[in-house]
Amino acid sequence: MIPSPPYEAKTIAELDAQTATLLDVFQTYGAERVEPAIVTPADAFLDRMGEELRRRTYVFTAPDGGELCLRPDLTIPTCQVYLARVPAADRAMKLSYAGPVFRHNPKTPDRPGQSLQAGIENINAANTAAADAEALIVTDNALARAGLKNADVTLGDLGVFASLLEALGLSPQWAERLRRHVWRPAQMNELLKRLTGEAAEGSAFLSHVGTLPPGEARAVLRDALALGGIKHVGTRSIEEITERFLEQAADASSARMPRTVADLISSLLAVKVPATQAVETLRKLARTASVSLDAAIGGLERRFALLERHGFPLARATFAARFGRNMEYYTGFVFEFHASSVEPPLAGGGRYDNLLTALGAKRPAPAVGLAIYAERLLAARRAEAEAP
Amino acid sequence: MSALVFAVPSKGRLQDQVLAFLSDAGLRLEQLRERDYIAKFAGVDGLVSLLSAGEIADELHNGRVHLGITGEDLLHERAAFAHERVLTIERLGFGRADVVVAVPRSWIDVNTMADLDDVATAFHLRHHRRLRVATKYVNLTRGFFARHGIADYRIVESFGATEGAPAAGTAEAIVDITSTGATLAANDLKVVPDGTILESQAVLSASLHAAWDDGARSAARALLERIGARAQAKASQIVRVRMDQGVEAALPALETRFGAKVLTRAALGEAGILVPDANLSAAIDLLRATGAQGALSVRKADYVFTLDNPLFTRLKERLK
Repeated sequence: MIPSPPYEAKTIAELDAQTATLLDVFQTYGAERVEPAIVTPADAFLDRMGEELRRRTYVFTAPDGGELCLRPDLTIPTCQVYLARVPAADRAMKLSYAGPVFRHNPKTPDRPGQSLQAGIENINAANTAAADAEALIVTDNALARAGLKNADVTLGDLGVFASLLEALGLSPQWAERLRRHVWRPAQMNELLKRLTGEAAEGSAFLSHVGTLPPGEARAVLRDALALGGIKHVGTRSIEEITERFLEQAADASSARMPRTVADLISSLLAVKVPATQAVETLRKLARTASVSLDAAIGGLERRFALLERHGFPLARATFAARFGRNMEYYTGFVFEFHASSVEPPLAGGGRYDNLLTALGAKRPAPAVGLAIYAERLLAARRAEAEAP
Repeated sequence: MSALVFAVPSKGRLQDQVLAFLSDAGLRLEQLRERDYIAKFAGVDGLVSLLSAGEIADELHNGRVHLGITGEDLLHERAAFAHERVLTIERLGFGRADVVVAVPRSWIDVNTMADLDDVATAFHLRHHRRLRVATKYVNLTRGFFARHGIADYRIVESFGATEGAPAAGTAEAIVDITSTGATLAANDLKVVPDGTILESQAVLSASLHAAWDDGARSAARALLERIGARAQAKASQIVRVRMDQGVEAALPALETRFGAKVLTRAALGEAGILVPDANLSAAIDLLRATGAQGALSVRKADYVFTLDNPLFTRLKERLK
């Protein structure tokens, strides 16, 4: 059983002690403790999250009419603390936090949607591979110091898939489409059918417009709208519509990708192997398909080497190419820790290189974070203690 | 013992249709007092509560009414997190309207939900905010967009005149109810072809969380038997024929293949067989083929009460 509020006295004491241990470990890695506000303006927050997380966020109205929410996550508020302190976003900083987050769970609507999290956000570290490896090492050490004996680790790297898309020379709109549906097998299959021309794509008109020079194509389109007597409403401009229509037209008139390309994408996404075999498996796949993924695979290999050097035996981990933690903001290396006794992950983290710019940073500020879910960790420790 | 509460819409076209449907089944509404929102059916136990269509959906979920007739769109919208609370007893075939995703007609680049997905992502990148979808169907919209893998959007709750939101600049797209599409067209919007979320109609539903004591159950049985008996009568014909070996031979196939029901039979007398309208001529052909000798008479009944009333059976099985 994962404890939830109101906690019994014993649970309170255990959670307090556990949090103190986690923060202590974070401190040894040079993280500075921050305390973001629990109640936060909803707007900036809601605009950065997908609708799926938003449906689980408690949003309410302030007495003065403003829209507020209970923080559903601590990564965004911690990044906001960083930006308040370093408006130019030009300094490396490691911030740690511990406190409650609030998420409604539609499956258990009668239980409070409140839980405790502790974690680190490591922003602008110079050596990204080292920062990624460290995030996992810190998590592993913190769980062990808290008293957990066994955990399985799943690793992924969204950068590998991104570099495959690049190596295949897909149009930007196709690369973007495939990238954002990497965790949705059903959508991915549909997209691959369209990509190879097995599913219908566009009309004859669309294909024709796609073969015209851009200036002429725009004129044809203007005439089509005028002929149809179509009045334009809304905030999406005619230029945007035309631009995307021309992209579609270019897609419709360009050659379909051969089935072998779709198969390569599918087989890469299907890779799920012991982490010790991941690099070799990916290399073999790339070699067979004659695509170069050297940079991405090399990056993964460096992270793995760093993990081993810092005492994390790779044999404990599984690598899954599709694994992306189902959060839109992750862009690279990702990981999760699981215990057999507790279904949801005990901890997780990963690289998110675009979030800070989305939150207003004027320059790129790559970052990597980790979060430990306190009640789940306690439940897993108790299960280990009770096991014969 | 608590009285059965049956909720019907308190206003509008849906109320007219519901009252016509009920009175066709012999259930005539008696207002207890002028301008009162509580009434009863003449000659039946229990109370009738007149509520707005949305309130009926809420009260079915809360268990404050036992039975009710309202739009499926509202029930599904309220039911997003609680499918096990309300049982649909019967879809009634009137009050039809679709809940659809609509975008400006000038979006000639959008003809599928997959297109809308692309546009949502491009819009976010370009405008540094998410594409807004105005709707009062927050839960239906979220579920549908999630099934299509669309995440890059934001819902703006709208309570009325949703179709004006794109022109007013408060949203880029909408999810709304439409029956003819005329209102959408008048606002220069079009339905995304694979963007129909729900084909809604009026439904007779039961709350599984209401206080179903013996009194409420027997009142529900009486009501549902009337409604069911009328529905059964309207959808079928009664074939009467003198019993003989030919008729006997046809009966198993009539029941299994044509959904017929033997209402009466006497060894040397007449048989009455209830046959669904659609299968009537096939059933008569079969009777002749197996050698039924007597004259066949066919007529419509006003009500057909049978012990296995399907409406009440559906409710009883879920209340166990």
